[in-house]
Amino acid sequence: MYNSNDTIVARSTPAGFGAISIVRLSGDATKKLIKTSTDLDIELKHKNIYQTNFFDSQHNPLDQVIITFYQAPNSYTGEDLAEINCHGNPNIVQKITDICIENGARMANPGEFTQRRFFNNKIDLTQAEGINEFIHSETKISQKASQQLLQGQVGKAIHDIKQKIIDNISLLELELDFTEEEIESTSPSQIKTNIQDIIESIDSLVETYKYGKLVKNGLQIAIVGPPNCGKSTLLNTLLQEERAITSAQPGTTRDFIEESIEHEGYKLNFIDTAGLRKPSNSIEETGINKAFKLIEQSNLILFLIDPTQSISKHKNFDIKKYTNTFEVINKIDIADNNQINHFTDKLKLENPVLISAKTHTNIDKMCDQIIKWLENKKPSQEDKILTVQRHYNILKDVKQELKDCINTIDLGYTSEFIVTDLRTALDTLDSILGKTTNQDILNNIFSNFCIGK
Amino acid sequence: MFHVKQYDYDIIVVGGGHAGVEASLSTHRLGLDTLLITMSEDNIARMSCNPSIGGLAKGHLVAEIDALGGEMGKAIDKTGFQFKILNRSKGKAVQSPRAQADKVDYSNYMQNIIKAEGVDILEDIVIGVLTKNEKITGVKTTEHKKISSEAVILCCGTFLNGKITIGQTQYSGGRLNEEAAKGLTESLKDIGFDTGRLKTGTPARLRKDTINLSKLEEQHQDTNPEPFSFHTDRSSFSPPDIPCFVTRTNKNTHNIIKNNLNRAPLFNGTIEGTGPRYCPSLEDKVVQFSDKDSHHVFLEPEWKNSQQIYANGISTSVPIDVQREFIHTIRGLEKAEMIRPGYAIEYDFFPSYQLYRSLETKSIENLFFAGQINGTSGYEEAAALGLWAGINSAYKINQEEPFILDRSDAYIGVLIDDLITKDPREPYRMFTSRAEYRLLLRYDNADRRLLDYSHKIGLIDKNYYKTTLAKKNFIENVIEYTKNNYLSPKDINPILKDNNSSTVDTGININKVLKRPNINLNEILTLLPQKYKQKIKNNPEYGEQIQTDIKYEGYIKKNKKLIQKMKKHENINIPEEMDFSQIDTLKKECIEKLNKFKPETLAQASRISGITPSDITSLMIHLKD
Repeated sequence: MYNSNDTIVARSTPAGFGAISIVRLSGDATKKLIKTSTDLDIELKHKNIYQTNFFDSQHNPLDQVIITFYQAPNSYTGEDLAEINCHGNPNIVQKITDICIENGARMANPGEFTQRRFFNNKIDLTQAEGINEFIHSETKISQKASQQLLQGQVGKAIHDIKQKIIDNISLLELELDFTEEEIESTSPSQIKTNIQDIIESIDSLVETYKYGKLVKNGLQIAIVGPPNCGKSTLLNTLLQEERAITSAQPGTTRDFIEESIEHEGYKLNFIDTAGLRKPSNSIEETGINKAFKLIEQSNLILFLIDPTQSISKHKNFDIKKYTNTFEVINKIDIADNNQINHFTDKLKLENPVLISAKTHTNIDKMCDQIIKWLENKKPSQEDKILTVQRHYNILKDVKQELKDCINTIDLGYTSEFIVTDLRTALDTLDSILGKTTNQDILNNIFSNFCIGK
Repeated sequence: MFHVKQYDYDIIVVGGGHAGVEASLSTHRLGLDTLLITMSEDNIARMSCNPSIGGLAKGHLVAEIDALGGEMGKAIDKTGFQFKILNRSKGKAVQSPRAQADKVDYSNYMQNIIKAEGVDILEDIVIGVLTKNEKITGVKTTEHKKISSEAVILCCGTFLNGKITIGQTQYSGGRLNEEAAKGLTESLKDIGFDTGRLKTGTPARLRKDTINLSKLEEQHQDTNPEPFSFHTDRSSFSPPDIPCFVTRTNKNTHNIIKNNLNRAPLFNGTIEGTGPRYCPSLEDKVVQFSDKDSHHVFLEPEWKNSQQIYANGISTSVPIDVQREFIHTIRGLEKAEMIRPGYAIEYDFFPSYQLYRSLETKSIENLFFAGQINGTSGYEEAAALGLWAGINSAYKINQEEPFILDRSDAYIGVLIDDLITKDPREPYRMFTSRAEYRLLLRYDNADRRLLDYSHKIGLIDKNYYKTTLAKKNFIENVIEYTKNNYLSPKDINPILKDNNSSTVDTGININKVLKRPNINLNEILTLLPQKYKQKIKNNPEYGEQIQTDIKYEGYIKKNKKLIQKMKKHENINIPEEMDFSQIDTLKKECIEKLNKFKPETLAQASRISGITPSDITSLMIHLKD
């Protein structure tokens, strides 16, 4: 439920490592929260920028940060709002967020900043939608970050797609606008081939998002298994062995514990689910149903097997139903080889990883195996990986519009209709890269063709 | 309307070219006391370059000028010849009318109209504008000194500090053998206006009886010529068909140019301005597209029975002896004599970011700029701007909100919007590709789509309004009928069979049948009710428009969707006093651009080159703060 008394906090730059990250804080307690954790002991002023230390709960300096303060009602949300620019380390970002939460802030829901903007009558709903169209509930800062991203290889790939669309529009416009010149027109079938090529380029870029998403947001790994198979122990062990990114923090669904670690530069989010068994009451049933839902949403299902328990206790989860199951046998410190082999045979396991969470045996090896699974998904061109969901969505829309265009060609319509479809696609793509003006298209024509009587 | 006579005139229009003509006629017709100042009465509505009106996209402009109550379409219908619709193989939206103009008759027609309707004309040269408290109060002329007025529209074309170049020879002039206008630019610069310099050119005029026409291909008008104007009676329209001739340059022609580049002003540094890329000189074409060893040359008579032939395609400013030499290498022109050589002209213009959408200047109230001084080229663009400035100056004096058309309303809307959001590097010419919503903006529906506007403005007469409204309703009714009615297989199948379209087992919606690529309205006309059938037979253009509207409906919807997206930002106004440097999320270049163009709406801002979606988001957020 929306609660206007809360002060909310969230990272507003994309997850992962970068030069800087921004944590946003909005609500009545913003000023108080900033004062508590920094050495700022003055009245914060609207649109002023402050450089300061950010302290953890023991008052140890955590990071040097830059804070921009916006006074209500003249801020994005209409409330007191602070933007904390910190160093772009996920660990620091998480700690700053945690400290704010410790001091009374609440984690913001997706889109909640814009939602508050709406509720504070800064905008009406259509305008909220208008903004949403641009930023897809990401913040304006993340919009900027995504613009920065566009300077790189992904940006180049998207620019190439845009240029190809412009080139084809130019070929058609040439034929329409300069009919009196001696211009050889391009056949519709040639345009069709060109567009199919563009669709292929989009496909290959869109495909990289599967991997890009994993790298960006981290791999969601659901740990499943019968009760008492050692799920929580495994989680604790992972946190001790590896660099923990988060401290324990209830997940949004509250019934699960989610912990993130970094291994070999990748972020792995482990989710401890409720033990899978026949539910004894309706509350437990709800929990188990939620566990299954979580399993469906995970990238990887870590099926934790306890060879000291019976096989039947492991039957509540059908491991062969999912293709992304990762099989791990726990408790090898107390289980004997016969038990392990028996389980491997009966459950038809393929190369299960043998670990002991309790004695910290083979934990690294297990993580390595997970990374190996992940890296198999890496596209051949490593530098062209789509990581921003908004870009992914837009490219998918562009693809659909190009398909409409092919349909127009197949129906035998003349150039101006083919151009209408291409321009619609270009307009959609422009929401990533900025507006293409008709002058840009004419420039392209003039630089490539001899025009003029 | 009664004014307390505070000024000599309500409005002074400076310049009698295509912009000045439409501007002065419209303000006069709207009841304002108008003075047209021109250097010479004889030069009113002169065509300085090509002897034609219309062409792709330009024909659209003429149709819109006509629909709004301008004069250009009527004038060309009365005086032109060789009428054609271009792009006939394409859809209706990109077709456009064009006609050869009789330069003499055209100019006479306009002079007569202006005189007959009683616009005051003064032969004089304006050398400055008079202002008080950043408001216009009149003009200063060489002969009559000071004349006061409430508003002034400047339509000075290429005459502001005009400089003509032929080879190494340069002299001041507005057209060949016509004086340039001096002093006015300086007077406006003193007030603080930015000026720029543009270049354009024109080809040689040749003597017809020295051309061997028998060798050359002729071009004729359409079998059923269509008029430009919605006011012209279509059934009795039969303009003369006087042919043009086509020839081409060849390797020898190009070699002569190449060998003389050191004497070509465009390449030896004499001319610094860049000319329009869509209308390059022959030397430009030869240098830039060296892989092409031949270019078309169209030989166009400048008036009926004219000895003077316009050599379209070989615009140039090389020395006269080089012109003569290369012309003689062209088939049919071996012995051609030049009546006038080709030349280049450089002139001052005022970048349009200094104007509101109404064409009123941002810094001086009631001063309007229209025509080539806004950085455009072409008679049609000039006339459109003249009409626009005329209407808006009248609105301003009558204290009404400016008259504005959007990019989705008309080519004129595209023209204005492009001018005020772009930094011109070359003279601006209209193309259909500039109109992103062009499927809606056909030349043949300009009367219907602009009817509400033109009715409100009041430059059209009652009778025209009545007949156009009836036409509009009729077309809409027939389309509605096709959506709600069906044809039985018995009736429609023979027609479908004849046209290689698949037959049907049950009744089929008429609208759907007409959406099929090879089924046209004429084929099913006999199946429509008598009241529709007869009217379409008598007015074949009604049928064509009904068919076009139906066939393109799906794509028109797509256009409309994009329009809605644009309009959302079109309706967000940016206050004039907005200080963009206060928006901390904007980049420096972006702030500079916004401060220069001072966009009136968020949509305009988004069309300024280099402004990104995130800039617009920042701007939008700031506007709401």
